[in-house]
Amino acid sequence: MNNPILRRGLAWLATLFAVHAACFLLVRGVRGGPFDQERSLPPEVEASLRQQFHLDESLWRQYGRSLGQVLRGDFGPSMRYRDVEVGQILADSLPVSLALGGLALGVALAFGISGGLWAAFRRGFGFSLAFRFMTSLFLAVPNFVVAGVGILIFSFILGWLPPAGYGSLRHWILPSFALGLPFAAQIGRLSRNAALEVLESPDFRTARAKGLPPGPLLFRHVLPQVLIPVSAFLGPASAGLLTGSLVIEQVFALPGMGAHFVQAALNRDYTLSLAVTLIYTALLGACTFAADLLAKWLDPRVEAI
Amino acid sequence: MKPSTQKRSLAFGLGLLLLLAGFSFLAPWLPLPEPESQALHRSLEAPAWWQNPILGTDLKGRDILSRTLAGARVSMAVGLWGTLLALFVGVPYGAVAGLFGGRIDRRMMRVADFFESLPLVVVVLFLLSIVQEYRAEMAAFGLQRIHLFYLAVGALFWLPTARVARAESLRLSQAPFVQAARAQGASRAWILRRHLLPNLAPSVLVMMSLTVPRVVLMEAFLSFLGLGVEPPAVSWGLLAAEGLAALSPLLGCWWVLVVPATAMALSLFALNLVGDCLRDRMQS
Repeated sequence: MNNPILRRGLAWLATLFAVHAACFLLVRGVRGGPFDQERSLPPEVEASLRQQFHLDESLWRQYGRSLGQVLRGDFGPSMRYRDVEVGQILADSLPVSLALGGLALGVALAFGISGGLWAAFRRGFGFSLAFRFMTSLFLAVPNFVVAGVGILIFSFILGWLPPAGYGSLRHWILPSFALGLPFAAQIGRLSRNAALEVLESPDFRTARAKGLPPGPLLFRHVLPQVLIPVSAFLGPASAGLLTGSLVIEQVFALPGMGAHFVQAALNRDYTLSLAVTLIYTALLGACTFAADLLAKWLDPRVEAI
Repeated sequence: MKPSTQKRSLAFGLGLLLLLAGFSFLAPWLPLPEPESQALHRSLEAPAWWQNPILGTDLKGRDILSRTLAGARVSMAVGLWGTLLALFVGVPYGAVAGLFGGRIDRRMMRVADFFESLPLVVVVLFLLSIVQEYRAEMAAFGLQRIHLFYLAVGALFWLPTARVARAESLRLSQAPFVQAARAQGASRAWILRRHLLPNLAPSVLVMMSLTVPRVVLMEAFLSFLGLGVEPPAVSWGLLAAEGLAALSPLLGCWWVLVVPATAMALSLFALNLVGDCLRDRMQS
């Protein structure tokens, strides 16, 4: 148990296991099934549906069945869209969500780090006030408002970008910015503070005094120090991105997992929402672990993995 | 930041908050239409600025300014109650972990780690959707969805408070006055009540001022998804959702979105400013 990677992996599996058990119990314990509709089904039809989804078995057998399915990576048919396998829905929507999250993370890192460095190098009163104002603004407004104002300006007034939908590369620009900019603001603040510290440190002053050109100065002295707090923030940021993508996918009508999850929660589509909850848990664990490894690699003094 | 700037921005933030809060509490006595009164013939009127509708009307002809001020009351109430609940759970948890230390502390923090590794928002959404089934029973106890909502928000935000409270109480339990009390044979419950909790107050205050804006954001988020505050009650999240729905290239009615969004941005900005200033003061 001394291998930290092994320990983290086991903790991750235990978390998934616990989440699955808790969700399963909650879902089965709840009254009102997915077959409740405005018009009640004939009893024979309902009975055969229940049989088809094994809802007539004992709780333990259902649990064993569900666990076995999850271990095989097969989540069974969706309870709402009955002709579709949950696995199929996930296979279609997970890449969309991952692409959105990845793009938003890219926006956050690119704009956050470059903005923070720029603000650190230009310390005029007006400029730093403007920087503080911009970061506070993006930290204060929820991402769907950023999205709405973005649609208003770039789609309806300027007409440059499509307001919603999915297909070409241009469809991704507004969603990834709307999702990424609040995190860019946070990363910008972190990297500005870190860079200011470096600029006042003796090693930076020495490097500059011996005539190092700005390029190596930036990449060898400033950037490594700036990346340390940023990498520590990536764990919480991945949780935030995941949450934010639920809303952004709704706003831009992207066929991602978040949109499916919200619909499944409202529709009481048990199999689908259980699968999505598990996948989000797994993703979050993997992302925080990757962020911790990155932090450790960038700064070997970091102990906790 | 220089201390003078800090003081000024603290005053600015507090002033802005007071102004917004004052307006939203005085709203029922201002000469504005009722937030819920519909007038379908006045649908989507543009802002008239000097007469009603000052900031325009929405799809159902309801006054946007009046709705935004009513939404402010709901959003702020949710922010305060949710934060208080998070503190109510998190502070004792962290304080106990920090005071006892050793194995108990490790166990309690392992539990916190477990919760931290969950995508809590997803889990809470899932729970909220399940609890929807029991609305009739809840109504019998006088509970509404908004109460559940406070619980959900409390569940989401107790972790950071618990961590801060633990760190503080670890530090305090090594302080000479606590050691002295312990040497005189004071029980742990006594130390917790008389020495730790009162001395946690400043950091709890900072934590609170940093948590309120996050709770308000979360409220907006959940209401936007249709799992938070329900119509006919209004909140900023619902108003923003309506505004987003009303956006279309044909009508161009920006005010339905921009007015509540500006109110939200201003008050969250002020709250963040106050929280940051208080935190910086604590650290220095």
